[in-house]
Amino acid sequence: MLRISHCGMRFGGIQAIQGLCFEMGQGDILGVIGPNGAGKTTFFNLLTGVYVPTAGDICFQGKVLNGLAPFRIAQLGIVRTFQNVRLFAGLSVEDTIRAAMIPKAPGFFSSLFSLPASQKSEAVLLSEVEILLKQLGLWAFRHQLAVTLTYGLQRCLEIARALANRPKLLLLDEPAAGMTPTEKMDLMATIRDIQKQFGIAVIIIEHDMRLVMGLCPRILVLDHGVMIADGDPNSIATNPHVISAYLGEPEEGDFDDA
Amino acid sequence: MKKYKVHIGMGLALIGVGALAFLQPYIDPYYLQVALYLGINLILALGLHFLCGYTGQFSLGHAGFMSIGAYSAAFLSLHFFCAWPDPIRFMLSLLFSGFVSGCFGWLLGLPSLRLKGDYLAVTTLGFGEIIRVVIQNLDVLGGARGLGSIPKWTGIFPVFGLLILGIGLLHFLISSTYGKGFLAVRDDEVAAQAIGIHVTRYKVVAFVISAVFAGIGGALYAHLVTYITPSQFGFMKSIELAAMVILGGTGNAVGVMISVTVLTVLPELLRGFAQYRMVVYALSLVVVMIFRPKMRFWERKKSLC
Repeated sequence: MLRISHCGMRFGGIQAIQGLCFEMGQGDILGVIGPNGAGKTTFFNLLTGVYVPTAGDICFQGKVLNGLAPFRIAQLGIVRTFQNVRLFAGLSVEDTIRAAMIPKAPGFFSSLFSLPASQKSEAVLLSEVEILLKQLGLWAFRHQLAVTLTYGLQRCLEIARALANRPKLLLLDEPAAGMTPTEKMDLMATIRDIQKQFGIAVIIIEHDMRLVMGLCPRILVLDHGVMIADGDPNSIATNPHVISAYLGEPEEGDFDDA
Repeated sequence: MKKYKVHIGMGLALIGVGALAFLQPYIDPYYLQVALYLGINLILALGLHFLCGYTGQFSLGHAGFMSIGAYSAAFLSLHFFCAWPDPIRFMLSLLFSGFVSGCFGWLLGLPSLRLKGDYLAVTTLGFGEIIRVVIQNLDVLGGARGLGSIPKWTGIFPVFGLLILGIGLLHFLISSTYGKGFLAVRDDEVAAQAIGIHVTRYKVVAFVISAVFAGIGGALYAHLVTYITPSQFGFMKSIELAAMVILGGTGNAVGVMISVTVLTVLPELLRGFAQYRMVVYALSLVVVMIFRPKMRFWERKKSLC
């Protein structure tokens, strides 16, 4: 479904991503880990069209994504959440989800006059909103402003907003950052549920090893923009390259090179 | 029936205004004039508010759109369709003014794809001034002398009928799923793009809507005062409109309507005080800026439009 071939991204003198190559299929869960500055978020920005790769191709369902505007890529079915929560400050929980459904909503003129046809499809959309919010446990808060939710629920709402887009590939950028251990357990269950139910592919960037190891049958490791490992959790945990990337080489007098 | 309650409400309100229009000859001309100014200001301010309050784009050039509407309508009324009945000519003029200024709104909306905040405000300000200077030098439009003997067609029904129509349509738009996109663009463009919202199209649409409101407001104004000059649509007019919107609390249509009413009626009540009006504007703006966080309590409840 997603094929990335020899993808590279260079900012001036810095090679943020280099020679990235991998494929993933429908319904896969893929974890991406790596030390700070390894290029994980850059990788997401490439996938969602925020940056255009300076080398190589990104292919999604047979379509090359290079150079497409971010909103077009979102409409094709790659939707992300953000590392720092980015919700709409002035919108209620319900309206946030409705905003994510705009690509399927009636257009400008039928909305402007509130024509019967548009009212009918609005009603369908509203029932979809209800199902989604109930499923993610946000229904009780639907009239609250999004920013007044607790942090864990805001994260959850971001995932709900992404799901409202009906994505085929969901990108989660550090979904568990700043969460309490119980919130993390809930999040893990939620991700597993939605992955099963919607049958979508998921890529997760995460620093919490327990979450990644528990959730992802396949993990990629990035370091300084290069993919240094690709495999199941056990092989990753024992891979000497990965260990040295996180802990440094076991050489004497090498402390300033971490 | 419940689904169409706003449609029905609009219809009833229009009938009410139509009935009121029959009383027009018996209303004191002074009060009538103030009421019509109020209605026109409401149309102008609601249009600007849609742009600033709901889409987060600022404009200091709305007098420019207003003058485009005023001049295009006046020009049509003076020179074309002279054999047709007056109400139809007025309708055509209003439609034409909305169309022309909508086109200019689209043109001005294009740079707004790249500009934000202060830069956009300065660009729109420049636009307003350019329009004024261009009209001043167009002899067809009377140049600096202005256009006179425009038929006095503006009355209760056109002004308040269009106001009701405008409020109703904005209400439909904002409460629809499509309309949530304007708010999403205002709050976070990056996140809006990430969920498939065509941010640039939304911004341009907002500019066009706002310009159409301003153009129609200008056309109504031209057919009320019957004599227009470029200087009537100067920078101060744009500031006046922006002040009305900011005072009302951006994002809050009811607040804007209240502030328009106060800022239109108050100078009339305090006739002797009128020359200090700009002082009051500036002062009240400063006060609002300082206490704005505390005014949020009447912002953004279930909005009227």
